[in-house]
Amino acid sequence: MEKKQWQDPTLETL
Amino acid sequence: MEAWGDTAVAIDAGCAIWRREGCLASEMRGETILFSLGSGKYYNLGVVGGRIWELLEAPRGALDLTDALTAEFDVERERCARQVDGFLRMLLREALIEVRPA
Repeated sequence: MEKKQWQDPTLETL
Repeated sequence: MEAWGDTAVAIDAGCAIWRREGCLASEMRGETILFSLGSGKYYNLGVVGGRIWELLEAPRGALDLTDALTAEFDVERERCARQVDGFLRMLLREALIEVRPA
C-alpha cells in the first residue's frame, strides 16, 4: 500500500 | 493513578494519552477542525494532526502513535517521533488531551 504524504502536525488556533 | 490534564506534566514514552472529553471534531478538505466546548476555541489540526486525534480515541502511548503513523505516512521514524512529541505537548497545553503516567 502506498504511504500518504507526511506533513508535520500543527495545532492552529482559529 | 490520577490522570493529568494540565501542562505541568512531561509526556514520557510510557504514558497513556487520550482525548479529553468536551471536544467536537469535523473534517474540512481533509483537515480536522476541532471545537473545544470548554474554551470555545476552534483549532485546525491539519491532516496528520487529525489522524493523531483519531488514534487518541482510546488511550495510547507515544511510541504506539509513532508506529501507527510511520506505517501510514512516508516519514522517517525519528522525525515522526519528534513531531508527535511536539504535537502532543501542544494538545496538552490547550487541555485537549489527558495523560496518565506509566
